[in-house]
Amino acid sequence: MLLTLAQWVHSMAFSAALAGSTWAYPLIGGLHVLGIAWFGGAVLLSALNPRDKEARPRPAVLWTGAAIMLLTGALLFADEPLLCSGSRSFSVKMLLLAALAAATQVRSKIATPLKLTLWAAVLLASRGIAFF
Amino acid sequence: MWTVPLKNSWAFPVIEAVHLFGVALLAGTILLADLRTLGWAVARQTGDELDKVFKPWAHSGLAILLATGALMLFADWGLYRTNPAFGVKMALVVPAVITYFAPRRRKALAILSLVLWTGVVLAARAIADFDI
Repeated sequence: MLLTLAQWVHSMAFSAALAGSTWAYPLIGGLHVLGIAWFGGAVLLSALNPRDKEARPRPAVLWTGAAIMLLTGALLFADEPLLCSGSRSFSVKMLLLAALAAATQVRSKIATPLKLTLWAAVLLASRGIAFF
Repeated sequence: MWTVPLKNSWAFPVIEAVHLFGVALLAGTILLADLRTLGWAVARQTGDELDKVFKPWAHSGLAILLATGALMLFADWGLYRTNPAFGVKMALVVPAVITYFAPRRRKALAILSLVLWTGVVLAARAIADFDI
């Protein structure tokens, strides 16, 4: 399924244009990291104020960070679809993100440590894409 | 000391992931506090209050970044020495850190901080693309 998607993206002129550009990958990759920082900072501020709703970041701040990550992430995939689909780390990362989406629905004491552990695993798998 | 370069070892992506976690802590908290100073209602707190709340986290992030950064640097110094993105990053990171420790929170300083840290992250991400 992932390979089919990757081959379809790879066949698009848009993907070829990205792959042909020298600066696209480092620039989009850098913006992706900035999105991680933005989202990470906002999540931290939420976690620091579990009871004081007003002291938490506005939802728009969280969503902006998430949107930057998702958009630049999709562009990175479009730049290197075959590298991503061939990487075990990438598959692991997608599964971890799905687990994370499910974990947001968990209402229990272990929800926060669970999500933090999953985020750490996502970061690890992300860096692994370039290697494994 | 290190006799085996990190670059081709499994330890490299692990250390990179920990470095990224530090980025989320330091750059993420600076980003939010700067946006607040510029008047974007990130949360109810002022920029100064956010700085205070974030301080232990930002400093932990800085410590993580310095430790993992030094580890990568000492292990593979020869590779970084000639990397142009690394040179740009170091030239930006020094004023960026000084800006962070600057005593007064003013709008001009917040803009400078945003520009410098964005540059640091973009240049840092590009180090991998000037490989090595």
